Amino acid sequence: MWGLSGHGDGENRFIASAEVTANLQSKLSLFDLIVGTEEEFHIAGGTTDTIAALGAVRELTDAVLVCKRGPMGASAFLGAIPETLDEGLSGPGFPIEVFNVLGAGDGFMAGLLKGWLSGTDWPTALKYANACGALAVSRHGCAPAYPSWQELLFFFDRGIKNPALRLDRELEQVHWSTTRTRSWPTMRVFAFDHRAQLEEMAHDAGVSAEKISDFKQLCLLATQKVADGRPGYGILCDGRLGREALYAAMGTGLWVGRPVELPGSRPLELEIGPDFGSGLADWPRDQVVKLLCFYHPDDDEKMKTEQEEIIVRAAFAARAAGLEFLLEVVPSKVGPVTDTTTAEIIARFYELGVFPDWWKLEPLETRAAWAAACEAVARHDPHIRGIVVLGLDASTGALENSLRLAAEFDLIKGFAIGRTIFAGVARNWLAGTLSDEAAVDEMARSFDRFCTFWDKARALRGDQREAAS
Amino acid sequence: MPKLDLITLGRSSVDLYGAQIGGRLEDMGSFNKYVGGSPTNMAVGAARLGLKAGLITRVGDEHMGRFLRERLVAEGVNVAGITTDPDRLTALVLLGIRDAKHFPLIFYRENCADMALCEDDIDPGFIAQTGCLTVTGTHLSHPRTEAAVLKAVNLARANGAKTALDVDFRPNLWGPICGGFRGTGTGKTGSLLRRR
Repeated sequence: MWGLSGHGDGENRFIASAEVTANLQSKLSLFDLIVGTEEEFHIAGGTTDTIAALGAVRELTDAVLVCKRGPMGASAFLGAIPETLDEGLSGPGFPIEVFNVLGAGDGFMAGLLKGWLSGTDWPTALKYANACGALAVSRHGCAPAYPSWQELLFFFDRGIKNPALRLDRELEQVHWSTTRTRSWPTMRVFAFDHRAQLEEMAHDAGVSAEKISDFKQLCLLATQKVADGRPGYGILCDGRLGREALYAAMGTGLWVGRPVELPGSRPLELEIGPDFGSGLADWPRDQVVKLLCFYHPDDDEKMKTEQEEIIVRAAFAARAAGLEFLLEVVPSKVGPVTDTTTAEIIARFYELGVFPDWWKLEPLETRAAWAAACEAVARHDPHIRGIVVLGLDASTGALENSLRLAAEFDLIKGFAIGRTIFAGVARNWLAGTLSDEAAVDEMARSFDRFCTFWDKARALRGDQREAAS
Repeated sequence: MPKLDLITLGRSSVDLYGAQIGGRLEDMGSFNKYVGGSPTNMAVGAARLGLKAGLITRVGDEHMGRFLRERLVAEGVNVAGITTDPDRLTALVLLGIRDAKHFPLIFYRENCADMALCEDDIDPGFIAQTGCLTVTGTHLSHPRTEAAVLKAVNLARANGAKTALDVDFRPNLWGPICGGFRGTGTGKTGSLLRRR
């Protein structure tokens, strides 16, 4: 009975075989639910007449039989098999453009099981199944194409706008942002992706740029010393001066962000080549694209348009490469700021269709400013990863004041701080007056201080909430 | 109350999906790497929809086996039922989108890890945790995996759990280690259809 077709025939879904039919038929009574395509019922029933095949299966089992009919949806049979497939129970279908049928049946099954095991009626279970199958058929890949529950509800609620679902940006955004894996409820990030500042320090100390690479490896060691293998820690590190540290950090459990901006550029330029896409093509999928822009709502039109265009292109390139995107905006260096400046910038980028996975924001000084920023994010993107607070070489005291306020907001997950931790150490280490061990210890102590501060501020907020409720 | 809504049992693979669309598999220049295999896909899909899902399969003791395990954990799938096979490799599948009707695929499943799934891999304690067991047809194609399927299904039934079968018929997987071939295949669905 064995050996029904050859290696090159993986795509083939049907060859009649009495032996396979006999094998399947000996098991049919063991199941409460049996699902197959028409061809799969042909093999199970031993005939290529679908109704006759279903009837033959029915002779052997009381299972609910669900026959998948491709674009025609599916029909469920609870009891006797009627004369036509259309007389079975069915759910609404979803007319979409076929892109890739592979894995669609498994997506269908997941939807069907969701309904069946949640106790819905069969038409509802078939609706879930048809929709999951439709979403799978419209995208690349099998499992990656399947919807989250929120996505499915969104799809039902909003309906089909473009039959080529993979080109429906609103739906794709819901898919992307509700199927991310690994959660980051806390972000304690040591940022040492600085390039210009460290090159200047190396120059001042009269040492080569290679020393910067070594220094960044010490920064990684300091991070790992504090993290001690626990989740919720990360680094920002570049691939030019910090390549060794960047490579070493991958797969260790750390969150890893990697910059693309040309340091200090305004108007913004990126370091990853003219088209951005090719520059991101060789990045590991678990690196996050970090883009810093000195952007202000009062910038003149030319500056604004130029910078916005680059950010939009970079955001799309990151998404196409399957990479998360962190957008850092720093208005205070280029213009006066009020409590609503950052919120205005956030709203502007959503208008442009940029949905970052993370925002990295300046340490805002008032509760009102943080509230406005968080509100602007939540209003446009309920599924965002969150916000991290940047340091800007601020004094420890000023930074802690801002972090204390920030910790009151759910959307703010932590911080990404650099120079406040490493600036002094870097100068001394590059000048040769500080040992490797001492540099690591000092940076770890400083980083740990912020981590502890953040954790306490969060815990305090939790206590206040409990007291209030 | 069972701890899991669903356990699926059977194939697991790394899908290497041609990244270019509308060309022959022969001409693909790069591949995207995804979790694959019918019951594995179902477990991921169910978990995304909020069901507590687990998977019973075997993976190789190598990078691709670890990839599957890590991705499944990330997707929220319970991996307690996954056995790491010390000798066999994780299955691979190469797939492509040729056009809107043709999707060539090659199974690299000769002596693959999931086909070593056996009765001993079926832990009655794990099956007792689920409200539903779902199996697929491919694992009925070999006596060893068939015995594992039957043990799991019978345990589930004895526990009062629901049972489901997805026929998932792949003609070229119905052979002992995919041997004994006839024909070379044309890569076109239905081209070998023999109507009665």
